[in-house]
Amino acid sequence: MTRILRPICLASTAAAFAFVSLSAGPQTPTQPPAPSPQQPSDVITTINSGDGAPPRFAVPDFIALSPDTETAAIAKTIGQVLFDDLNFEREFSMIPRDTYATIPAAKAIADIPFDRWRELGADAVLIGTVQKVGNTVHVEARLFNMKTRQSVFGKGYDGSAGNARVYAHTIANEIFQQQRALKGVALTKLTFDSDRDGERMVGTVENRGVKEIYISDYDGENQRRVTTGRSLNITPRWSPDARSIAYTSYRHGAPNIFISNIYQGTLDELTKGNAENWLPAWSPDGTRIAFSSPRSGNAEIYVVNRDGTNLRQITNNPGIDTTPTWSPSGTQIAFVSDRTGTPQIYVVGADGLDLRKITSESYADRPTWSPAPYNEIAYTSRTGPGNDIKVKDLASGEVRQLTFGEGTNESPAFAPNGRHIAFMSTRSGKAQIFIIARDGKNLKQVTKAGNNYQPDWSK
Amino acid sequence: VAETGARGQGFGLSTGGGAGSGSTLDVANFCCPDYLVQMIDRIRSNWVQHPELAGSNVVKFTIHRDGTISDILLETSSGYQNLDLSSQRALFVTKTLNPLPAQFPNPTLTVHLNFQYQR
Repeated sequence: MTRILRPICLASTAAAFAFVSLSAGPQTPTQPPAPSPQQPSDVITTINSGDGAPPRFAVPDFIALSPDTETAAIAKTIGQVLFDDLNFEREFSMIPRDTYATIPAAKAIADIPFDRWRELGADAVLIGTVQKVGNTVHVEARLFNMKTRQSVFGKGYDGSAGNARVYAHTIANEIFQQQRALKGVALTKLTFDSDRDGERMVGTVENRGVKEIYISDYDGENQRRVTTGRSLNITPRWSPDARSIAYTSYRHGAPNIFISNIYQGTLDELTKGNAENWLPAWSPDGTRIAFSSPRSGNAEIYVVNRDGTNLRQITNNPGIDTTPTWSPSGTQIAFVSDRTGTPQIYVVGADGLDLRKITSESYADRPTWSPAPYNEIAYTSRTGPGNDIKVKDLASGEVRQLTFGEGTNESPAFAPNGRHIAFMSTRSGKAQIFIIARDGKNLKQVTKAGNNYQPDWSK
Repeated sequence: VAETGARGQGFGLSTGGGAGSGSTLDVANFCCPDYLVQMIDRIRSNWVQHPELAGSNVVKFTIHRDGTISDILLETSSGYQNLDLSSQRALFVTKTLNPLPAQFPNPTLTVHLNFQYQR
């Protein structure tokens, strides 16, 4: 029998680490390395009895190996952000960080007080170091099994000192992949429109507030403005590669669809003229954009190529058809239509065939199709004076409600792994972006400034 | 692979090791951890647990490219015949798993599965 041992042990730290470079900005997140072509013939793994309680994780501050204050700050930030990232998916039972004070801080990985962590109930502890190397930092992260005192994960990263959060997000994603076969969302971003700048547009639409497109990290950090049009810029949607945002803009008067290529700093006008075009939605492969337009008399769904060619009309009905969203396979489009009286969600083939109605609400709007393997559509449903978020499982027909009348709740957008939904809610007063898990738990507010609407989650 | 049932199985934490320990490897180097998640899901559904006893044993078995299981062998006993039989029976009843993933190039995969019985 061939056995290939690939130890990651304390004595061979440097040799065992894979080194990954982080570039200067979050726009080029590091991808995990491709698997080695040489694979082991044996694996050891464990199956536990009982209810499968998640392992208890501790994530103390990383160890600053350089004496300066900047390194200490980076080490502290990585520990806190990594804790939050690992806590987000609820795959691990995270031991609160304020209980770590009783455990002496290690000065090096060799000093880890395993017995003390075990006393705290930890099944695993994530220990890391940060060291300044010239103008860059070297970050190492290792996950230790407290029973065996052995490392089950170890990696090193070199990059800018300004990227503390990106190191944490990258490590979190790699641990989710390795420990849970789960695609984490720690490096993903949100986009939304916001009136926080408080500017008022002048011109034909009296007293209409200016809204600009913003982006942020998935946890609400690093909120940055994308548009500077001082006009109405709304309904942003990430391209599948997360390098462009399509949105509706009134910058030239009539609403049209623009695409901001945010890392190149360029702007494409997908539609032009006075026809009015709204609510863009990227196809999953990024080659086409669906949108709504009354150009033929009343609002219908259209699809156009990314470069503005090959415009096709998908719906043709006296009712108002708006708010398209693509199925994960790109073969179907869900949209809102009032063709039977009140707005309801419909699904049609991307070729315009096989129309079917999927909701029977008093009022349904803003559908968003989940990523695979889920086959669900989240939407806004009028449930009283306000709206709530509901999710329909297309296979079973079952509908579940995620919010229950706290303010109004609208515009759901799935995380790329389908486990959370971003949405707008007025439950805290103004319109803000919140995130909620697909089971209705784990609610988190991600914006606070101004009013914020229409979130979308990058892939 | 979101919510594939991976929660609570903890396969990753059982890995680790180093030269001289004689039996371990790092799952981080294994191409396809989601295959192990699915494997454990299948075996768990055929596993009769014994809440009256606590113990641990290791059963070794081979997965062939088409997913069939062979060479089921008790590698480390728990000291309780009930638990040892229960672990082996879970494999015999499972019989077949999903075919080995295309990214895994070897003709067979040998698994040392540590069954942990908790009260």
